[in-house]
Amino acid sequence: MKRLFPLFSLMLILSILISACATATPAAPDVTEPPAAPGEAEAPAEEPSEPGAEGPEPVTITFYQRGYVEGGEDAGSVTTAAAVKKFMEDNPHITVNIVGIPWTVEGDTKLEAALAARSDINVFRVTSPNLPRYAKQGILSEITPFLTEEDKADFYESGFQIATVDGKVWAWPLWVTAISIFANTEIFEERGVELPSIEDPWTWDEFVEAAKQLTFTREDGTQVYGFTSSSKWGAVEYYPLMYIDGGRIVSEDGKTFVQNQPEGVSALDKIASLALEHKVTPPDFGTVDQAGVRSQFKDIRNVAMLMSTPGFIPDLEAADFPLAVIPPPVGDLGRLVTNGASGLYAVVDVDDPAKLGAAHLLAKYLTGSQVAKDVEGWQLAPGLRRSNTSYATPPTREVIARLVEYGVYEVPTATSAELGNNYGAMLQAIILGEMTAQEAMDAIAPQYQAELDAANQ
Amino acid sequence: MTTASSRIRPPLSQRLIRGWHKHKWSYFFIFPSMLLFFTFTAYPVGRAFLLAFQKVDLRGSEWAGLANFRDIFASQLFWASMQHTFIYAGCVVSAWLITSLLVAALIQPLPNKIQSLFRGAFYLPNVISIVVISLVWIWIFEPQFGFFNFLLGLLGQEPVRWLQNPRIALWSIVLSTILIVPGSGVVIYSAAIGSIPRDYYEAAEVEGANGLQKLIYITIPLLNPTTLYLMVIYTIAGFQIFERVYIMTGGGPINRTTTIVQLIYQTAFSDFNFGRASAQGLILFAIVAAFSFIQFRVLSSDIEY
Repeated sequence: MKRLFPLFSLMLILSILISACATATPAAPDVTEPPAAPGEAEAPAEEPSEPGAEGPEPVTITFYQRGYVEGGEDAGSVTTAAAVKKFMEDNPHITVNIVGIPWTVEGDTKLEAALAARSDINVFRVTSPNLPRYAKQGILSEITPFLTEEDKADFYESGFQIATVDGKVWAWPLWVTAISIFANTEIFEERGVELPSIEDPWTWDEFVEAAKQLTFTREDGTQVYGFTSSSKWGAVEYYPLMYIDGGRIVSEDGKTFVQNQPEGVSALDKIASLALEHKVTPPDFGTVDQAGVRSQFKDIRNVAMLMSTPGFIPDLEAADFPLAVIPPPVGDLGRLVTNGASGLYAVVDVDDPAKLGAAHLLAKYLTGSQVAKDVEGWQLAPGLRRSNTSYATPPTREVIARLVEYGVYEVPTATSAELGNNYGAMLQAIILGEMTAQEAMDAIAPQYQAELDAANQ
Repeated sequence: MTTASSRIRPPLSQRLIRGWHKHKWSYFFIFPSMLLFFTFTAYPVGRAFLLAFQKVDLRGSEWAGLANFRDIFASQLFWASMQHTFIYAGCVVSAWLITSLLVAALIQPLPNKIQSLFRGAFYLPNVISIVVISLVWIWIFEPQFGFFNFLLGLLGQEPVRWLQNPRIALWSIVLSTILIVPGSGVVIYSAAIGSIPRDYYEAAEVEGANGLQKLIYITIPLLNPTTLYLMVIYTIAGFQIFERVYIMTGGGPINRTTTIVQLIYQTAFSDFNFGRASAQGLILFAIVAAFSFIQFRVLSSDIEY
């Protein structure tokens, strides 16, 4: 017995460890299904029901939502919960479980793990850079079979463009964070500068002239700058300026790197000239992140114009900021241009047709016009459907909503983070005056083209 | 003789059984910590080693041989990050050793209570999160309203873009590191200096040695084992620089402050290329191990006093 004691002790520890590693609590009951009444389970069915008489079979799907916290009181959590609740009311046979993941690397990792396992995930927010990878790996379900003729007519063409890989549409377009210029009207008035309008936008030269006039030193020594924008890689917000001369990063078929051509280079030269030649930007332009420029514009108020995304407007409104939204200047292309990140909902391809159909139904609802009416605050950026006018209610947002029509977007392409990092470094090198635009774009072109070639194989 | 020893020494199996009976309670007590060690240290390290030779993506992993290493050595960013890491580690290790030795030597002649006060004061920054320290440095280096540019303004100088200018950003990070005297080094050097017998100094004084000569010819040579220890741990810390770079510059501008651990992080958690990231980790491990080995070979001595 004495000899067996260590063995028993070892087994006891192992059993404790194993039980600790096992699921500690049973799965939570599905709150959307009413509990059975006492005695109901034992009661024999009086009449056999006819097949299909009670409508579609119940189906449960899982929705991964960025920024959602169960019971959270932040706007994102509240609107998500409300939208899903309304969807389930309209579709009583569908139960939606929401899994909240943060907008961080940890969130990315959780999402990647769920997609790798391909279990308990049906609908999720997909980012443009990841869309081609998921599509090529067979993770996503194509949306075309689930689009009605009405849907096809309702979406802007650019909406499908941002979700198309190899000629197929892989995600439901929700919105685009159409980038515009926010103006501090007090500084404009102080310097006597007239605001442009979407009907009568500035030319590039007029924009530069205005920025120069808005760059000055006040009597108390405060330095005010004409223009800035988030320019740290990963949060670059001056993108529309890269397209104003008709250039783009990648050709429209997604096969060739073209930013080293004259139209692309001249636009980059113009951006760099704001800092290097005209000196209308703060000293950190080229490396500053979104939080930094927003603080300069909203809190310090030493910048007259900020090029940014619509997500900043609620903050400015809450701060009672003297705001006007103006369009980007017009370059050699001769028309307005905007650009921005897109919101897309993708559906995971699963074998169960009921789940697949339910997932597409949810994604369609979340990207439709109805949810914007059902849930106040859902539409944080202009929608990519013509029928979705919910965003453009106040005058400031109307300019942004109207800019969606002028969107120029890159075709989603699967490129490595290393390429993105190197490309971002080249943009910084141009703005910081370390390289000319032509040198920088020629330097990055071989690597960019090699990755495009590999992606298009 | 051989026959006698083999007669005395029992066979291996018998020795193992006897050892088990003799030490079974020891094994029993160390079992939980060994289990934790294998689960959370040995297994991840072994797994990372295997991943370095695999291509890993959402569909799973497949054997890739040396492909990850070939990709790494062909990457300009990798060599740039190595260069930045060597510059950072070289500057920081030298500066930390010199400043901690100087501070320890300066406080040594003071009364015990004052010495303790200084040791505590120099050690205090060690308990503050590196995140907080980095955020403070961001504000010190801020180009429009930062403290350094304020001082330059008082001297009539133009503001400097400390973290935005690609030519000086890495040096700004080095400066932010070396301007904080490492408290651990001060404490360890202080204890080591205190243990050097006073006889040596008295003999030197009789011979007419001044303070500097005593430092160079007595203190520094006798501190060799301590210097070796600090150099090894500071070198390891220098090569592992991450948080400060991640927070202050994110590796920019133009990748001029990207260090090897920053690159590993980017590769693993931006590109989700865990295979290549593991290979980069193995390379870092090899470099640190090689440096530690060289330092031990060159600096180790049998000083006793």
